[in-house]
Parts: sequence; structure tokens; C-alpha cells
Amino acid sequence: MWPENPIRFCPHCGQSLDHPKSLVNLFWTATTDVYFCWCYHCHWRGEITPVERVESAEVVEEGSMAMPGLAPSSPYLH
Amino acid sequence: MLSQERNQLLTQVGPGTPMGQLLRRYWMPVAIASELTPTQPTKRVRVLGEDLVLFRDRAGRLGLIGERCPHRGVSLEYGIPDPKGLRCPYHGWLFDRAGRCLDQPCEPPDSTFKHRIRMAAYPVQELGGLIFAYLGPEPAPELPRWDLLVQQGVIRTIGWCVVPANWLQIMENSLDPIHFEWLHGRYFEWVFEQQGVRPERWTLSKHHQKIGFDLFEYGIVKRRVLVGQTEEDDDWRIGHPVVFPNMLRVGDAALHTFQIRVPMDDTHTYHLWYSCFVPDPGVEIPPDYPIVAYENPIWEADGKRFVVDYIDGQDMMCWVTQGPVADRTTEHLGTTDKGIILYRQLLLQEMAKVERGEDPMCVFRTPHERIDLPQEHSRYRDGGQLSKVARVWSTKYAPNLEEILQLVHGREDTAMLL
Repeated sequence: MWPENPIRFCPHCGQSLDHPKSLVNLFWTATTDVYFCWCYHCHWRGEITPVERVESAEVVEEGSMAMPGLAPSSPYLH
Repeated sequence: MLSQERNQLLTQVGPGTPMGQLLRRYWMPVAIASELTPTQPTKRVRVLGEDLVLFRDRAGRLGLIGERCPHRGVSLEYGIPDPKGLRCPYHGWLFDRAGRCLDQPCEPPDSTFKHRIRMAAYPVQELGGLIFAYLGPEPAPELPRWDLLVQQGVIRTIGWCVVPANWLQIMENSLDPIHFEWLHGRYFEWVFEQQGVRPERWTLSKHHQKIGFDLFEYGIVKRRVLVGQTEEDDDWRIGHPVVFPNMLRVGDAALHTFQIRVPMDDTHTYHLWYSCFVPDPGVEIPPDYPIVAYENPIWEADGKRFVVDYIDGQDMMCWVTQGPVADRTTEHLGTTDKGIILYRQLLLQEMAKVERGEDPMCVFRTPHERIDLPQEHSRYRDGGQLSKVARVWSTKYAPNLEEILQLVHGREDTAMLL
């Protein structure tokens, strides 16, 4: 069933997206919930995805490359 | 997945509903012209939740008025054509094309009672073998002269069916390109297997590598890249359009078609398959070849099983088994369903225009000769493939299909996929 809608307001104009003539359409990509939104008030359109876990790129391994701005002799590199 | 409130907003078409207001801005086909004959000059019509009667009077003019006589509620489907309109069979009240009561034969001759009687009446026009009605506010826009409705040098057939399902799930099928490789590809292969038929190759099962959707001035163009294709192929480079709000245009060099979905009410749709067979280069076709109409079946003779051995029967099986109105509060859309979501958004966007007093997309106010739409020539890298599948899709039920294939090819047609 339709879950409680976590997308309440338009990120562009701030009006309520609960307006029935706005569109909040949930779909899925693998394990991710994606809300396709269209604002009745300002016509902004976009996709909003809740973030469950913050991830970034893989950690650079020691000695694999020099980090910009850090000399090889930097005490931060071991 | 949608909220119930939004599902209702998108699916309810009756008078006073927001979607009903939007759809009333468009001319809707309500009959095939050949349905009205001198001996059967009326047709009962249900469109956008309204019960009406289409008729041709004895002067040859078309009219569309409320179904029930305002006197005692008898259906005017059984009316008597008159030079000025249609008479009720019960007591002879006469109504003209504007819904005015012109005569009440049994009331006193000097009575003005008839001037107080008025019923619903809507403009109708005939084009390309179809009769179109406009149920919206005046002034009525121009009747769009889409290319296939006015195209010269083709042979037309018109299939029809009343589908017991809401119009939106039928339209959403047209924004879902990948259903083709399964429903009309793998599922069809399974049907063949059950029938003991072994197709040498069934190109409709080709896998989609990529699908895309672009808004254009008349709706949404959908595109596909199949295994072995590139973006240079017609399926992607040209694509084919969903014409807003309720029409699919699909075809190739050999056969150009519209599929038109007219909401009768919230749970029934009048579906038309409008097909134009294109003659091979150098082949002359008879100039006055008739437009033949035929019914496309949903059910087998037992009334229980769907007819699934043709492409459009397979589609109807899916539309109807989704329920009278698909429950979008329980659906699970994936990445390949984004065309469906785009179409929902477009409906809401155009609905908002109507609220603001503007004309929505595809409402034309200026006279025009012809509106051309994108047309693929070689779909699935198979040239005029649709002519080859004409025996396994809606045109299968055209009683004159074999004659048409012979006429457009100028020889006996043997090009089949099977």
C-alpha cells in the first residue's frame, strides 16, 4: 500500500506537495526508493531519493598516488 | 505507486471531474461512419460518463443528443429519423441537433411547452471514416486533421472493441515499450508452443537495451534500442508517438496505425484500431476501396478465456486483468516504467492548464490541412514488418485482409513471420 509520503514540500517553491494535483510517484531502483515529483504550484520536476547510508568513493590506498597538496614527506602520510 | 486520491484524479472521467474536464477539450471518435445506415440511423453512445444517441437525420446531417427523451425517459436509440432531427418512438416528440424540442404532436397546437424542453446536445463531425464528438465548452476547437485521417493512396480498416477497463491503464501500456519483448515476444512464443506452431524466428522477442521518452509538441515520443541496433535505427532515431491525450501512433513503411482510446466511463473504454495499408512502390490501389470495420474479440467463445493468439488480444488480456480500474496504490514501478510516470505528470500538467483557462496540448484553434506525425519506416530492422504480422494483430479480424494484402503488394502476399 501507499506508504506515508515523506516528500511533503516542493524543494523549489516550498509549497505543499500534498496538493492532490501535484504528482508524487514512488518507484524503485534496486533497493532505493525514488520519488518522482512534479509541483502543481511552480511546475518544478525532479526525483528525490531518501539516503539510508552515506557512502563515498573507495579510500585511496597507501602509496597508490600522492594526494594533491600533501608532500610525500607529510606527517599525515604513513 | 500513487496515493488513492491521485489514482482517482487520473482515472475518473465523468462530468465535473478534473480529468473529465481535461478530456472534454478534445474531439473523441464515438462511432465508425459506416455504422449509421438508412435502416440503422442511430447508435447509442456512452462517452465520458454521459449516455447519448448519435443519429443521422433524413437530411443526412449528424446529431448527438441525450439518450433519454425528457418526456418519459425512453431511449432515443429507437428514434425515428426526421428531416429536422430525431423523433421519440413513444409519443413523437421531435428533437433537433441542438437538443431543442421542435414538436410535441399530442400537445395542443398552440402550446409553448416545447420551448421549455431542452436536452444535452454536442457537435459532431465526420473525418477519415470516423465520427467525432466534442463534449467540452464552446467554442469547439478545430477537429485535428491527423495525417492518417486524411492520407491519400492507402487502404483503411477500422477495428473496434469495448474494453471493460479504465482508459488510463490502456494508455499506460503505450508508455511501456519493454512489454513488447515479453507479452508479444516470449509470451507469444509460449502461445505458439501450446498450439504446436514453431516460428522460424520471432523478432518481437528481441531484448531492449535502452528506452527513452521525449516530450514533443503533440505528446511523448518513445524510443527503443534493441539488441543489435544502434541509435541510428528508426526505433530510436525517429521513435513513435503517444499523441496527447489518448492516441498511440505506431507503424512502419507498410502499415501506419492509430490506436485510439475513448473513455466511455471509469471502467469501460471504446478502443479503435485505425490502420492504413500503404501500397508497395508503383502499385496502384482502387481509389474508392471501402473502409471495412470489424470487431476485435477479447474473449474466446466460452466467454471465459481471453483470446491471446494475437497481439492486441494479448494487450487486452493485460488491461482487463489489471481490474476495472488498476490499483496504483499497490503497484511497484521500476526504472523501465519511467515513461508511465512521465505520462501521468503530463496529464496533471495539462489539467492545470485547463484550470487556468488555457488550452491544453493538442487543442487546435486555427484551420489546417494536415498534421504530420513522426513515422518509423523500418522497425526492428525488418522493413515493413507490420504487414508481415498483419495476420497476428488487430487486422487479423478484418474480413478482407487477404484481399488488402494482395492489393497493396500487387501480388499474392506470402511475407509472413510464421
